[in-house]
Amino acid sequence: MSSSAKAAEAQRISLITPWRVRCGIATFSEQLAQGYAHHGREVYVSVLSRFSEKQPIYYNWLVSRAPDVDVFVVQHEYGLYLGNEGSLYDTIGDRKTPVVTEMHSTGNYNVDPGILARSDRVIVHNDYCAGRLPRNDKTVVIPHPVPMPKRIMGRDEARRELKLPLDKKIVLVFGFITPAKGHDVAVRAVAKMPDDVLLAIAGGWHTDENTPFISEVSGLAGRLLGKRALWLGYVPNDKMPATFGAADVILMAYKQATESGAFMTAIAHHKAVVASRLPNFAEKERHGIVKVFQEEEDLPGILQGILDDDEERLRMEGAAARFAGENSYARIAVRHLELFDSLVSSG
Amino acid sequence: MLLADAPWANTGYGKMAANLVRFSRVCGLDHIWGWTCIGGLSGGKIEWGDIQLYPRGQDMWSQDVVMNYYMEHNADVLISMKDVWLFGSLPSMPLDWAPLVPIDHSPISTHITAKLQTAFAPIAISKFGQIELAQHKIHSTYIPHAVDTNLYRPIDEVPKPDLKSRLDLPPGSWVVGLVSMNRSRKCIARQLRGFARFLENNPDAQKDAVMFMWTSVLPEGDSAAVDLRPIIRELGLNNRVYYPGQAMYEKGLPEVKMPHLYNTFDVLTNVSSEGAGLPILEAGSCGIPQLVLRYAAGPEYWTSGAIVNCADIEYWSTPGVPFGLLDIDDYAEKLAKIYNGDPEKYRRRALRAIKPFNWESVVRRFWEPFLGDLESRVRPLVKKDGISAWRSNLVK
Repeated sequence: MSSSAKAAEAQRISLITPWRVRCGIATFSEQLAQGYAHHGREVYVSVLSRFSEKQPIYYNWLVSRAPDVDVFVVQHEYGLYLGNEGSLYDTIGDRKTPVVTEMHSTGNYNVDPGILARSDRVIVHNDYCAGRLPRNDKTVVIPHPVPMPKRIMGRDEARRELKLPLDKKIVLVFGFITPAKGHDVAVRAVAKMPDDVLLAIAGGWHTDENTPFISEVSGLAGRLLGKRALWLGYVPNDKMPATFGAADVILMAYKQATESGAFMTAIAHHKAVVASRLPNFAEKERHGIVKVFQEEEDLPGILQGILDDDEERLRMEGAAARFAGENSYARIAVRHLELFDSLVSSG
Repeated sequence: MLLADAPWANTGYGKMAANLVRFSRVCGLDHIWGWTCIGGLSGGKIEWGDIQLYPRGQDMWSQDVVMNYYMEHNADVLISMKDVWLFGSLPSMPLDWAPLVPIDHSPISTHITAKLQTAFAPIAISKFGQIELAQHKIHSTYIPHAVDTNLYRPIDEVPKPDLKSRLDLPPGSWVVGLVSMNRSRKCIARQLRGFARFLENNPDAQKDAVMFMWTSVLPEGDSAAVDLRPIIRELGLNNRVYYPGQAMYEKGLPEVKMPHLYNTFDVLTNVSSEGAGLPILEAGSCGIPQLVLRYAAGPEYWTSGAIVNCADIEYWSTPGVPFGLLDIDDYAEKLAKIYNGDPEKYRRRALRAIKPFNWESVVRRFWEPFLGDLESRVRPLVKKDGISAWRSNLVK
């Protein structure tokens, strides 16, 4: 690279995001920032308070104290800003610096046009999210990165670590237990499968320790599955390899999603995934890493098909491994940096 | 930014906060620049040395103003020095909150754990508190209370009888001293009962043992306080228990005079139901033995003297926490042990054990790494070689 090209790099990046809290976007940002830094960039994080009551002036303040940088990157999810995006972008606008917003979901027609108008580029993770934005020439689709697992653990080793039976088949549901994740669908599906199929539920609460939904799911699992339901609780990072390693197949019976960090984590652990026919999952079917179901009644058959066909399961796991390699945080970070650099160059 | 009573307020928290600022400067730390006052300042901002003091708000704990001050001051972290259960709206504000959390009971009240769910960096002032918090999956950093050992020291240049005379105590008396607010949780009445039992069991001590209480014997209009006068009368201690006149107590002693007060004592009684307390350290630093309760963090702060057993627990504060109640017989026995013990031995032990609680040592060992770590957590700068902290023109 010539020295003149190097001068057009977005060397100093301001990242506005939650940080080091129990929050998917915080985890995402931490890994992405490492990816930027790996390529020699400096990432100045403005830590956005996650679980608090924020007034518009807070967002002005947050941005006003950020140092001078080459590009502002805003990690966006509606719940983080509570409709106060205007305050944030007003203050960023005063800095006369390129702005890239990464939208983790789209489709709020009160908010999206404003973000598009005030950002130089908007990153979304899939075509579905892009399609939910008003027509524009700023949207760039860059996939959600796949995290690097601590290690890939074999089934028997993982089950021994977690003290799970070696002679059963295990369907794993992973992620915060909220109604949108379809834990109830998973329970009903596994209940219709043979007794040697168990449902492992891994994940904790997101905001409240014992929500009505958690009570509902635990009641349903108790009635329909009895001891075939395995409650693994919140999974700390060091237990991820064992949790995924122990599963034969991962189920994501989501009722709503725009993209899923939990899905990427499953792929990171080279696992076969069955998911609801939501656009973000359906888009990935062509990579051979996921099978989608339309109707709940089809689900037991699809799961059983994978559990009974080792060749098919191994084919999906191999596809997952390839997809993970091609979409690692390091590789996705490069695509982000190319985008940032293009803005700096054109500015 | 600190959230605490004003530096000149006559409270333990005010004193702690003022000393933290003072000694962090002595140790070359430049983290604390702003202070939102809970009490002791209203009407306008003023400067206290190089610290910007912000006045209290309408809310009793300044929660109505602290967020604005935090932003105006461009603060990164708010260190509060007040019981956390008192705060209502603070835990849901978008600021990085590092509450100093005294845990003086077990198990911890949900009034406290609920407030800490969103806390950024809780500070446990005892190992006991840190373990209790950990049992509720609340990670905290251990930073003990501290004492200015240069100020609080044995005053050998004034003979003890002279110090006693200054408080109108019989010059040859053996003084059991108490330094405390008058609140039911401080168990002053029960300590008086223990003192009476000691006299009853040890007739030889009746010749010289007296008690001096630096407290208000009147209830001060606070429902949590106790009128101590009828109890003193009832126990037949009229001629043995001394206390300052109300005006003198309200006026308070300047801190430079507090070591003189402690040096008047032969033993400090701090057998409060909460266990630990700042007077335990201050007395220890003056070489005075202490009587403390074997409850919560009491034994951690004790440096010399004796530890009194708990007879029972009682629930009597707003957050409904279990407090320890001293065993009156054991109190009398332990007091007798100190009465008959070697004062020089107690003094040597106290002065040796107090060293880790010296302010400079606590700032260097605990506050400096804590504040340094916070900086990279609130303003992370991620680079190829690791995570450090960024600073802008707006951040001092």
